Amino acid sequence: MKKTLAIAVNTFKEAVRNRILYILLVFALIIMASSGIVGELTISARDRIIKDLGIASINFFGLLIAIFVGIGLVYNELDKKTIYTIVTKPIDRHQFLIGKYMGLLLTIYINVLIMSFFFLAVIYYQSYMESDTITKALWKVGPQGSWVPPSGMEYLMYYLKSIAMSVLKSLATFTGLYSPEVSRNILKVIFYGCLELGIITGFAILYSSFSTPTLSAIFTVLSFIIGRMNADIIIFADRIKSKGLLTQGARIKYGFSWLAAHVTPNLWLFNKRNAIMEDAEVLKLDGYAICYFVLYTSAILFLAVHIFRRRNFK
Amino acid sequence: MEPEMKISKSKQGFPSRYFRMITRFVLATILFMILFLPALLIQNRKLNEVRKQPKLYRDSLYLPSGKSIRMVSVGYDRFAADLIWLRSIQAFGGHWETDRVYTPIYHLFDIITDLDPQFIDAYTFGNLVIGDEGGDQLQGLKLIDKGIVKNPLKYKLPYWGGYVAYWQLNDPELAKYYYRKAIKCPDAPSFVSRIVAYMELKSGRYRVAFEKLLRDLLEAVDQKDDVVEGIVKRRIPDILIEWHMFILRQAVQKYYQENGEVPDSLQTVQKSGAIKPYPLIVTPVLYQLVDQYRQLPGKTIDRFQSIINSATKPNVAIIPPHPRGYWYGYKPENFVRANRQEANYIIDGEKLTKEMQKTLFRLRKGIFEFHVANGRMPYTREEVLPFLNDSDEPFNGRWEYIPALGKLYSSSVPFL
Repeated sequence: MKKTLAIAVNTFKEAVRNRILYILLVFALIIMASSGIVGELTISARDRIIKDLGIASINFFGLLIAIFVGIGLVYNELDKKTIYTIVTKPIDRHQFLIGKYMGLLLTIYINVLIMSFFFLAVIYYQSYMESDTITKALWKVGPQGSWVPPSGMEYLMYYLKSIAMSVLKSLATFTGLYSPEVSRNILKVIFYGCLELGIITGFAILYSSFSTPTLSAIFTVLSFIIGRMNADIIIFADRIKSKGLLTQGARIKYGFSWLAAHVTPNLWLFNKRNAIMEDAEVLKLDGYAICYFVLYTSAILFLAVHIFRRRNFK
Repeated sequence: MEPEMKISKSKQGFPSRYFRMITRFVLATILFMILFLPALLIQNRKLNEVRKQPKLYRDSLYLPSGKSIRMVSVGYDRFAADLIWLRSIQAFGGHWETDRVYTPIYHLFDIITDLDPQFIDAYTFGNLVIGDEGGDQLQGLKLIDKGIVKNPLKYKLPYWGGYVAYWQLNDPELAKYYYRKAIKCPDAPSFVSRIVAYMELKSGRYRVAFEKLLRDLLEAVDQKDDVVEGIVKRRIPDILIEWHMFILRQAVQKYYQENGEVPDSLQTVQKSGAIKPYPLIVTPVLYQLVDQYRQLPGKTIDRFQSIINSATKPNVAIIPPHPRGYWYGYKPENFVRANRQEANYIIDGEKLTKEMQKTLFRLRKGIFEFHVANGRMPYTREEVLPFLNDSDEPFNGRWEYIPALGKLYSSSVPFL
């Protein structure tokens, strides 16, 4: 375990040096920051759009990090021959691969954490920027009973205070001290998104253990798409069956679809995004989804280790 | 052999080198202009053609069905719905500024609600655009119906459906259908049930409307909601008044059918037995019971049936007492001259009093001003109000003027 952790930490350090990670992170943060502007384009459902954009950004950029960083992890070790310095040490190949997986997962989760923190701060900041809130906070009644507009300095102070308060509230939400209606279920939804990313990272490691980065990227993206369409595949299979499995072709089609639906990851299990709706109930812990994540990822990693063990580095 | 003198490029004369560069630049520019200017002219011509065309909003975005987009969006369906939602708002604005034809936008709302069936704003705004703004209420209701199927517990959708059905389609039955759906939703505010009561009232189901309001009253008492209690207490007599007037109208018509003559008063109608027996709700008893039960432990709503039974006198066939202590008036001349189904031959004493108060105040002000200006009361009514005729009396009465007192009153409400 110690060896695995050492590799995980090393992998994390290596990933942190990767420039693409920062590009993706900065891009995600810019998109989330601009959600307020996007929200201005709508006539209602502003909160919904800000939340959806944030959640989608965290998930999508987490996925991109998993793909772009994950696919090169094993390949680069082989390409630069640095693998020789590791395999000659008393480290088993499974320890190496699991260490790589854990390191990459740590990188992704830290990125998700940063994005989530920023996202919550954006949500809180938006609530400070509502015109009613600004009016209540800054406009005063003058001596003649008329409204007195605030000065430029008062505005500036208000904006700075809003930013500081939003950051503090975001921190408090993470520590569980503050859980207002506006951010209900958001961290839970992100948590399930992290489980999904864990499975996709497993696939990235699996593919990178036997193929080139380009092919690994393509395979990982396809696995993600199939995973998200898993429910549609089984519906497709049922539709074939409902028409009657009269021909050999229909039977093959049905069998193939049924198999595909059962073998490919069911990423819909981790889709809890509807829970961020205003009047949604508090999201309960889905033990089934967590068990599925642990078992499916273990199976994928087992397969990856098995392939990697048989690989000849010469 | 003497070597040939070669002059390297770098040693060429300074002006000649620049001359050559400038010449090249000028030639290149001319060549570019020869090629580019005609293109610019063609472009300008085409742009002018576009400008001359009537302004039409053209949605350049082709979108397949919601199901297809759902497949393509690979799980980011909520986000995709948001993007199309923003697009639909732009499309609405575009059509609003140009042709004001909103039917094509229906497809966008259909897709949004396919992608995210819980997007309530998309249904309500879509209905507003297609039905309210576009005038195609049935298409708007189609969207609302879709929303009701997907979100059976959200009151907002049937509530909007009821609004469209009643105010735009003038279909109270359809409106009642929607409002009844709305009232069953757990998130429905209390005012929805009052709308349902109003619908029942308008469709002549007075008893149902009254019972609905009584339930609201008892719920408000249980929840200690003074505002709603006050509103409902004001609405209950309104319903009873409409109910009583309906009973009296029916009785007058029955008398006319049976006797072939117009009754001279409501008392005549009562004596003839033309008033059909009805359950009389005694409002003082009703409120007294509510106040009594308010003090007791338990919920008043659980005593609904007991309250209604105790406050009701069954099978009464008399002129009903006005729930606010006024009276019901009768104008035989209105019955004769007007459409007997809708005419105001039965008069609400409260309404009459209030309207007459306003009219008399205005007219008496004129008399007072005359008195201030001339130091005496007018000798005749015509002296101060020359244009006031008896036909101006809103309830077909006469204006009476007492010169000695300078007092103007109406024969319809002589005590005012």
